[in-house]
Amino acid sequence: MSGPQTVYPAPAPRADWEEVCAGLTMIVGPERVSTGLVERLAVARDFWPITCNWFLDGKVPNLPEAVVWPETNDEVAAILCLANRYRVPVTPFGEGSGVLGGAVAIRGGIILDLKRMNRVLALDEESLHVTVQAGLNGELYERWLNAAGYTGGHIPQSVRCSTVGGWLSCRAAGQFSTKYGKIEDIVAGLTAVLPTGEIVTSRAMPRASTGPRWEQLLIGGEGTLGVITEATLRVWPLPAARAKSSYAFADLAAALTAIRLILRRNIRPAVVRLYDDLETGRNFADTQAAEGRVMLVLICEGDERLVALEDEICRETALAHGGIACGTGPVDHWLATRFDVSASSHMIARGAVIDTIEVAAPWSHIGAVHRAAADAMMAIEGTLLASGHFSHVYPDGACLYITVCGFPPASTDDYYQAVWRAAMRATLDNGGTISHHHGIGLQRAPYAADEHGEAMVVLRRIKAALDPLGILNPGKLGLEVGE
Amino acid sequence: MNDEQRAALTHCAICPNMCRFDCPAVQAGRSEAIAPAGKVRVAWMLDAGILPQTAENVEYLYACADCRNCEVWCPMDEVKVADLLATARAAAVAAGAVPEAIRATLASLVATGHPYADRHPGSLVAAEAVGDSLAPGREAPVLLLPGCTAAALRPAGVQAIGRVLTAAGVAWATLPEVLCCGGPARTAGDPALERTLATRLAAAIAFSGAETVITACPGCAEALTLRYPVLGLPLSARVVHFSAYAAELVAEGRLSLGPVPWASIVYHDPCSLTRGLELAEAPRAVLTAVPGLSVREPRATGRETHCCGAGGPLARVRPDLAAHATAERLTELRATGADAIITACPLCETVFGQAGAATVLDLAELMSTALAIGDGRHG
Repeated sequence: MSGPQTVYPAPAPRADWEEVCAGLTMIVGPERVSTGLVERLAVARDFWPITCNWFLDGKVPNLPEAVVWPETNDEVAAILCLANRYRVPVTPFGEGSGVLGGAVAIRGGIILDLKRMNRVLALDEESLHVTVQAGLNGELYERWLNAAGYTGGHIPQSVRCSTVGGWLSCRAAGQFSTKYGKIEDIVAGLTAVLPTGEIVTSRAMPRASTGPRWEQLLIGGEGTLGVITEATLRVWPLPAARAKSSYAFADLAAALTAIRLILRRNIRPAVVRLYDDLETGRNFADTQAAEGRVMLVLICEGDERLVALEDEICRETALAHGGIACGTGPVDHWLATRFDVSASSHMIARGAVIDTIEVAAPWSHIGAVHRAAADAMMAIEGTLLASGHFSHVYPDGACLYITVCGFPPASTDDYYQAVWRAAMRATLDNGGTISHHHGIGLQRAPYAADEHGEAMVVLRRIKAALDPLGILNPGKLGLEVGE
Repeated sequence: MNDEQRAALTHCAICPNMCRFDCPAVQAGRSEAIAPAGKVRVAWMLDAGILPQTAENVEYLYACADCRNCEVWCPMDEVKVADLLATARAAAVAAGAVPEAIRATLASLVATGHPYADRHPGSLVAAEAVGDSLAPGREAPVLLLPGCTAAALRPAGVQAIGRVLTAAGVAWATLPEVLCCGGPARTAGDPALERTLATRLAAAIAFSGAETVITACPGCAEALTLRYPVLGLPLSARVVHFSAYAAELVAEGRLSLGPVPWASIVYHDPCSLTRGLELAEAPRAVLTAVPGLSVREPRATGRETHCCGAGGPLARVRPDLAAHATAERLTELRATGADAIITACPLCETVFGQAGAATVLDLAELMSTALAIGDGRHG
């Protein structure tokens, strides 16, 4: 008995592995390197949902050969130099909450666990910039800011179990993103270690015209083009006021129109969430006016006078499009339950396959994407439910967040991939993009070429130039030909 | 492990670890394997036979402070990580897979009836714990249980409890010997030993004829009130932690508290008291009765209190992580700028003191000082 089976082929034994381990130990010391089975199992998967099913079947994607916990940029650089010398794959790892396999070491090698790089380095209260190390936990980051009188404006559902580096690596979005932006809007500068060991810094600036912003390659790069080790993020003073409101609409079209017109007037509620009829029924059964309708939840926050005005314009617009005011109850319910992920655990334990698939599209296409994706997934044999809500909105479009749940009629993996194919195909065919904020990882890698078209060559050439030996997080983003 | 526990284990194992940010073990150690769901995954794989029961593997089950802070953030009512790990440890111990440090704890419990044989090779005598001047009476309606931790590590706190009780006119006594409540055996993974110790204490309490049992240690109160009924050992006596009893004495006007030499204090909620017994208000009611005393709250307080680092088996198997947790909590407490740290648990007091906190007192010690300065009444 030596642990679970692996789904991906186990790496061939390396004749020079002892040398690699000796090198790692020289770099960080013996206490911060482990080749123990339990430590390797613990980072053998992230939160790619199918790996939960695999886990219960006694399987993991693959086993890394070592885990290493660096504390400084120099240590990360030295580890990457060592990895190049011995051609050992390196997979950066934060807190493992990614849902697409982005932190899975499919070729084995070294897991670079960044959680010991968790310090707040500087707060520039005049510029509203805070610089932190990438391994800092999201909830602890926000709490630190709150104690200093600020908010980071980035509260994803995973905030309690994800890191700043993880957010940046998958271009994450928080629940309050309509006001504060996605993480790519929030980041002002960063420090990273390139695959070949160079430590590079993009200084935090409000804006710059100094050629292409190279750091954008790493934001959403999923650790394939460099390891983000520090980031300077924009912060905001804690909001002085918050207005909560909710409206029930006859259908999605009316509600989407109201939202679009609110955004068009340059109003930026922090939270805008519109639930389809299935999710409205599931989440707001206690609200009588919501029965048979769709629910819109809004939070405006910030300066007291501005919030009052934003709330008023939201109300006018919602009512003008047939919205029925439902008060603050539905908002409070959402706030109270927004981190409750228990349904997923309970369903998977019963043998279900469950996942959330987020896509985005311009306003002119988002309705069609929703209908096509939900219909396509429901058409797959075994699907119990495909429901959705619009979780992030912009002046030009929205994110659609679909929850799919089913009981596979035969092979779990075949069912899972069929559902994903249906969602991806429907999104692409109807003018959407295949991901809004979860990223590509392993699960979406087969669809990356369809998403980017000819432009895929740009990403592949950059990867080849920055990581000539392909040691950094192999297999992700669909960068490898034939992947 | 029964079906219900197995279901809970599975639910936790496939959760993305939503509580991890407030777990003292993983925040100190930074390894995925000791995050709450990480440890539960180890337990799941051991239970499923995917991982072998070896001392090396099961050590991860012990990297837990039993602080139950994960429960504060867990949306699944059926998931109690500390209980699941205790059950998994029992299976490991039964299989003979015991980390060396835990083996020593169990040996100490068997040989001396308490887990501190390294400091006190023999059994702990109650008279020594409560002080010579407070030699225990017999057949009193109120029984004071020092508990092995308080008796071994913080007898001054127990002696102060005795002074406060005497000042309030309470007729109290102790058992001749300090008996373990069984909690340390359960934590270490030996439910049979837990039952033996618990049965012995329950019988001694019954024989004493006491109507009320006051514990110095929150862990004893938790065991006697929450665990004994599960073990089929219900007590006819009322069991109460000293902080709750003290609040009653104050409310009844049986104690006259005067000023103390500290202008401000910060109260640290022990995990067992605030999360296990839901006793956050009682100690504060006592503190606010002290005239002129400013009572400050740390960043994490009440039900969301942070562990002192000494809870559960963490300090036994990973003293480095426990020390880190202690230092973190001390930083939070010191940030209040208070003159003294007050708490109501001998373990918390011990480790804060060892970590260099200047003034750490048990609630009873503060009360005893207030009595002495206030009106001269002193046991």
